[in-house]
Amino acid sequence: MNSKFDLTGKVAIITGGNGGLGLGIAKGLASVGAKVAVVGRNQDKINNAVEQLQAEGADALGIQCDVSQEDDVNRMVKETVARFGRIDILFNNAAISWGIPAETMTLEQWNNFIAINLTSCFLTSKACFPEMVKAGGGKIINVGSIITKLGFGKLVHYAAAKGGMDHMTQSLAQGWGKHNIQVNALLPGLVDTEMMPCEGPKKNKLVDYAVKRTPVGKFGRPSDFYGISILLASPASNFITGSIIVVDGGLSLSI
Amino acid sequence: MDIFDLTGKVAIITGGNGGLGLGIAKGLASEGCAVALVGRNRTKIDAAVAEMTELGYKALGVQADVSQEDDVNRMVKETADHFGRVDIPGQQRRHQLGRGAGKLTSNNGTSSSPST
Repeated sequence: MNSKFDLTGKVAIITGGNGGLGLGIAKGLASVGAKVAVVGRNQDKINNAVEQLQAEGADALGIQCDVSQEDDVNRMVKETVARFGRIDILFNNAAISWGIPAETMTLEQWNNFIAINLTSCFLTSKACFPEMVKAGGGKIINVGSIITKLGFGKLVHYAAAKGGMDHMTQSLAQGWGKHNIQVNALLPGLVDTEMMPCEGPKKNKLVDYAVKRTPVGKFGRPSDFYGISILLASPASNFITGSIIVVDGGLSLSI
Repeated sequence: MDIFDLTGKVAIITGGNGGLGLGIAKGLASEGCAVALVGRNRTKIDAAVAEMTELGYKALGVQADVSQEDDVNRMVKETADHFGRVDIPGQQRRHQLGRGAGKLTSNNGTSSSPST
């Protein structure tokens, strides 16, 4: 392994790391030596994720946490430090999504959605900040969505949350640059996960249409995010901050 | 498997005989890529190739004016003849055209005087 991409001795927190894209990211980081804390709400999924990671030789910790709750987030960060001694990398990947038109969404639904998808990024970043300063720097990667390049009438809440993440990325990058913390966002398109099944009986009806229009001619899989995740978490990206990187096989260019 | 491994790949870097282009070449070569360094200034090309060779990298220098179609075609041919293939056609030039590259003819272009 070339040293630019080596994460030996580094510690990463991946919210929503107990499945789908988050687990893919955790596997990618672990494959180049990072210790990983996978965070989620569903304990069964956490156990399964930790088992999968350990089977691949990773030093992995599972932490149950509701990332919309400040106390929970602070405890999660504390547990990670207690086990691994430091925090270098944070992937804000946890998200929920469901389609509903703005005119029928209740304020309670909206607030809950924004709390889980956007406020969580503030809470986790804030909680990790002192640990990253202590470690001499850090990497924060916000996992957004190509929705911020497009628009969907039934996903106004999702677009608002992800748009907030994009701009949080840029301003955090500016604010925390002096602490050697680089903050970037990656925007996935179509990825085969529980949120957007791309094959099998639960396959989303948009998949075939989208794949046909995607320049690379296929939908994404969590393993397609190994490269960009390792890049943005490693010293190879020390000159990249405040960038919002589309990782969608070209889908957003042509849909 | 190392997903950043470029062993066996061949890259062309125009403007690769100095500055950012040479930096790009070193980055690719450090992952095992063979590189063709393209520029107009023979002295800079030779110095860049010597520097790369010293680092243990596979580098070929090609003198070409990338605004000239014949020159560009010769550059690609020399690279393919030397290394056997071309995988990464790096664009490290200031003058670029917003047209579909595959369909563009030299008549669509504007003549330019590249500054590097």
